[in-house]
Amino acid sequence: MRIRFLPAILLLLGVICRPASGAERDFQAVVGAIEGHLGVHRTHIPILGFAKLFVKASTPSGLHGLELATFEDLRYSPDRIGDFRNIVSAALGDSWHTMVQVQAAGRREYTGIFIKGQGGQFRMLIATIEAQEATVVEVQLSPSQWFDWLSNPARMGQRVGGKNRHEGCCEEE
Amino acid sequence: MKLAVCLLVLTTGAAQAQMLLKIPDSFSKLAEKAEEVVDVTLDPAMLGLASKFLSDKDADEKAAKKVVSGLKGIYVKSYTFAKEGEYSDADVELLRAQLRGPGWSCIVNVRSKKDRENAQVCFFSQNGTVAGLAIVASEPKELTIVNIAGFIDKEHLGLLEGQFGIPKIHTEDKQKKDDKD
Repeated sequence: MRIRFLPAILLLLGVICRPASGAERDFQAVVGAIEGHLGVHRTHIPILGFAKLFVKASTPSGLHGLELATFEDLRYSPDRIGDFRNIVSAALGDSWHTMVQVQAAGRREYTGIFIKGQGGQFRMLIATIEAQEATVVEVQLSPSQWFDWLSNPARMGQRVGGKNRHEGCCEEE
Repeated sequence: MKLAVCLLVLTTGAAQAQMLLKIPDSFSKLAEKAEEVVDVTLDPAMLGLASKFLSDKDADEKAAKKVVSGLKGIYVKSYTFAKEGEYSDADVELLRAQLRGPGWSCIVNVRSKKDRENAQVCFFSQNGTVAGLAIVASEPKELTIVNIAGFIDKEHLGLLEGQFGIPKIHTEDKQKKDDKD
């Protein structure tokens, strides 16, 4: 191995193997709680770690600290949507605020948007569950981005929760 | 002195409770029937974060900060139904009855016979200032309840409309439309 690659490799390892921050611990706590509740493991997403490096470098729309976990092949009863909501809230703890909840019992869907202020930034965690799959996404937002999202939280929830498939949602003003 | 402080806390607490609409227990059944329920909660802690982090340098953020700083909570609950008749006038009346309580005065009532849309905008007054606001908007397939607690500058009311999940009432448009019909 050529020694000139060594700094780059060390930097890469440093990024990948760095100790979990508080926000990551919260994310992992939610993922662990959902795994326990649903009895499935998160779906392995190939090259997600690599993709996260690009997100870190390019910060699309100014987003930082992307975390993503998906769970597939669920057989989730709509009666248990309340359980899912409680489990996510409990795993996040009191420092997170529940900002938006969109519940569509008929379509067996739930979306919860949780927010936490941290060091002048906001961390936003979005947890969704449908009959067959669940997703947890966490991103870091600047105050101005957060405010943009906050300006229309219902649309934010509906977009994430799939309401944009329906007529009448999300038209731009 | 202690007694005066206790009385002040109790009075403030009672007013706070009055300005927050209680979603009737029977609405849990509406939630089961609804195709979709959207629940937006911006509690005092979150609004505090917002006013703390929003910048005074950016014009938009500054305006937002001004609006948010006096508020103690924004709560929006919206039920969307697949078909008409899933909720009754009696359900809406449970909310409207609360708006006839002490401190509340409803200054805007929008009724559109053609579209069967109703909206009621009410203010909660405390010591001569607007300390809360509630909107109950009903359409054949949709019921939306907005409750804002805290000091609301009348100049900022227009800024809140269409923001934070608060629906646009379009009172002028509706009036013109009804006048045409």
